[in-house]
Amino acid sequence: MFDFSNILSLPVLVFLPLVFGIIILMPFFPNNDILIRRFAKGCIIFHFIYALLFWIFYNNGFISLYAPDWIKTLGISFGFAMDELALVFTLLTTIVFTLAGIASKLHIRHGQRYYYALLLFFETTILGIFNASDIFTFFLFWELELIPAYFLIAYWGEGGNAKKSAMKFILYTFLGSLFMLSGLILLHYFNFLATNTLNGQIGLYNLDKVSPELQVLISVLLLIGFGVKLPIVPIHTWLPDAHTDAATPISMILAGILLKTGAYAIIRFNLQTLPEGFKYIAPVLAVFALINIIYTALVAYAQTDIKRIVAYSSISNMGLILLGICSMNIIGLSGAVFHSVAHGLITAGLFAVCGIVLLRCRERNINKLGGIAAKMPRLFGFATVIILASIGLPSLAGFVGEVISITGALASELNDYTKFTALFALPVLILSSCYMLKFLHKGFFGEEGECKPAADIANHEFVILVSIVVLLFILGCFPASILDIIQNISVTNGAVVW
Amino acid sequence: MVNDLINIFIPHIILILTIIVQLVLGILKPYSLTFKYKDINIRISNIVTVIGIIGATAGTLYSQGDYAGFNYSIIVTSDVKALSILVLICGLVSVFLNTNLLRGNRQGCYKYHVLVLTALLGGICALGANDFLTLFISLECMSFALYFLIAFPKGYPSKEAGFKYLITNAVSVAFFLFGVSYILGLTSSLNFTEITQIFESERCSIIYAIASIMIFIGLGMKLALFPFANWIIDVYAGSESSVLNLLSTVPKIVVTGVLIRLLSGVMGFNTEINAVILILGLITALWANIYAIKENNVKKLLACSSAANAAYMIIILAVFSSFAASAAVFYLICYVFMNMGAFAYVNMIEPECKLLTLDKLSQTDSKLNAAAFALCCLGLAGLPATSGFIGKIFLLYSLLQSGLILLPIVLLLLILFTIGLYFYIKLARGIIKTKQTAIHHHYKILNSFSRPVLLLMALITVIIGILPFNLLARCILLFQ
Repeated sequence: MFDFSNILSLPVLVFLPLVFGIIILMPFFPNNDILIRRFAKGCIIFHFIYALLFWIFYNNGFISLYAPDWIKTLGISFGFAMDELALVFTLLTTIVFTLAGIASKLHIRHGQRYYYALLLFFETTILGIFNASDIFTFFLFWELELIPAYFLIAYWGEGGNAKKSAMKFILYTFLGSLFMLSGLILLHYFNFLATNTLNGQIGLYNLDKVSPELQVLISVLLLIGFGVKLPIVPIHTWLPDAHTDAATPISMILAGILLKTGAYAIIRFNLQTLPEGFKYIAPVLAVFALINIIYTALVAYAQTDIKRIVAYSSISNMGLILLGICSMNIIGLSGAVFHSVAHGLITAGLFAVCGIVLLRCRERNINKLGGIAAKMPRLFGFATVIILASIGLPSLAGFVGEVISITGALASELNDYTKFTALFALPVLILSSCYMLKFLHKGFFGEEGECKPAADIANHEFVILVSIVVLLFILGCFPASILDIIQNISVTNGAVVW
Repeated sequence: MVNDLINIFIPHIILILTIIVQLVLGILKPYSLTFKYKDINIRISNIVTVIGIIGATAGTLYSQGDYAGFNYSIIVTSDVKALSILVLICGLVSVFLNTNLLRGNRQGCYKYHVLVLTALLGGICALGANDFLTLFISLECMSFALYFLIAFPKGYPSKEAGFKYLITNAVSVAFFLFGVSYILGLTSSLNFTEITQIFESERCSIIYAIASIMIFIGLGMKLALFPFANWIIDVYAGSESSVLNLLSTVPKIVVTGVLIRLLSGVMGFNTEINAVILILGLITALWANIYAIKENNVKKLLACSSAANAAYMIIILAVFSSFAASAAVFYLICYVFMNMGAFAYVNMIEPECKLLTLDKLSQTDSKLNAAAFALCCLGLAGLPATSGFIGKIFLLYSLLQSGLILLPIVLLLLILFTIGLYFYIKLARGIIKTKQTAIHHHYKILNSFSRPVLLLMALITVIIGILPFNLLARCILLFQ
């Protein structure tokens, strides 16, 4: 029988979207908007199927390594490797990109050729982040992702301030990533001093001989970079603007995946590589996570713009993920990974709903909306399920993620503060139902607002919402589908071991 | 002996011969201006210069091994050769961009080439100088040629710019000579090798520290370092892009090469100089980046970029080691190519508008040109897949290698990089046509060479960005 695992190659997985994007930009490609859109959609779906093959043929402990030399002087290679964690995030990326690609149909009206090329390029950069095996390859993709993200937000944005928001996004992230770069350089250099080998492979770092103070310093520098993406509260202000002003498909990607790169990076670097240092930071970070959850939930409740509500709810949920990571045990980590996937789907769904409302009613102010449920019953049905998942209704995916994350924090052996933060986080989850139900209540029920929707959802929007709802049910009822993948991860003595 | 001298001086001799040929041609003017084909004199002088520069490059490559001549006042080593070739390449590129400039002043095309060649000659002499006297004369030879080149185009702004450069340079030279006179007083020698030997055996006095700081300040003016930084804005605003192409690259390469030589010997015995380099570099970078935030003039923005990048390069040299020297040279090479790409694009659209502001940047019809310019700008900002990204990694790596004591300075640099990104993005965004900019549409490329130069520089930027290994290994070999 043909062995499918022979055709699975990580560089192909990462660079395939880029190749498709370049094909779209080529002069020989017909300048026909419909053709470009269908070709791009086909490419994204094909790539999704290719990523699924990685899941199907994944053996335990299978790490496909591809690492030619890049900067030999410093032992840096251009390396890719996939483990359980990367596999989960890769699958999430391809799913959300597929949905965003389908959602682009009605939202993107001009410059389709460049839009789809940039979208595919964006996919490559994010997959590069998740599958990089070398710290500088990781950093390369981390920065590279800014270029398509900037142009996608700035030139296809929905708000009037799209360019300003995009600039804010890129400046915040760039400054953060430079802090991260200095952290990575220190990591690389002190690893060299300790082991006397120049090495860029993430899995091979051995910092046992490096003092904990230094590990804390490196960890903090890295966290500034990751914290901007995640985002952690004092450095989160780029997010609401960027998410609100971007076009709907881009908002889906930003909230669904881009934020998860921060969570992934914290697990990968702070938890896996610098566990000794992270032990000291985790209790403090847990407090930040709590602030994230409470503060942004309150802010979300005060918003009137529907996209801003969803944007702030994203930050709140990312606080939950951060809390799971800070517990530094296997339960919290599984919860964080699971909730990353669940929240990625939920928030993509919520932005899709916002986009549909926006397209039909041309209005984002929640006070001027109302009575949509009567005019758009199908949208109402899907929106209700997604909103309930976001609140954390049992049998839907959000519930599992929240429960496991908080259980992990409660079971944390670090110190009692982390347990206290978890106790505080628990009742605060009620806040999420406040702002989410306000969204549902004011937007969909009540008096008919000033703007009347013309028609219910179209077929392609139906596909997006159905797939999200089905996935939410599957993950909610069979959480093992994700948890099984990451079951091999174990946390011993604080360090994550694969 | 004679063989050695020929080995050292082949490029110099070829450049001098080319200058003589240009002077003779300038007197003869083979084709009068009434000739039907008006550009013939420009073409002839260009071809002669290109042949001369290529000959000098070949001559530099031909000599193998290290040489010293004239009682150790000029030496040729591998790093001198590498930087000389870089200087000659910059000269060559600026010759390809000069059509617009020379069409405005057809009478003076031979004079222009004499000035360019003199600047290059001064540059490569200064790179090889092992003696303060030789260094001073060579640097002045380069600077004098540059004053006249800046003032070469017709009109008031260029004259003002040339005069400003002259005055600032004169003051900075006074600082330089002041420092040299102290060194001469302490050691009664001007030769670098002898001075190094004397200071190796003696304890260094405060006068030595003052002298080396003065010398650094004097040289720093050519990089637009604080306190002589202000000239760069006005001089760039008043100059023509092909001249700027030379002005923003050749003095930088030369001064970096000279500073590496001085810091590894003559000036390297006191720790104060490192702190001074660091402080002056940081002040300059801060000033340039903050100035650029509100700026709308493209040439002034590129001036700020030039000052900031020179400052970053100097900051690398503050922690002097062989790795830092190679990192600085690597950064220099990356910067030079990206910068020449940006100026090639400016050269393309310059004749259309006298005052080049950001909203006029999108005049080119070719999307490829626009993309290449955007790539050069993003490279200057240090975004990945460009050479600037690798240069930035090495800059930070060489700073952090000296331990955690420089971490606060690294963090300050990171903020400066971010401010830099803001104005580079503004530049890169300028090329995208919006409804307002679509009005100035009638545009044709006057200089047929600026497009290939732009594309070539963008290509080099990407190639170094993706495959930096070869170049980097060579840079490290230079200083082992």
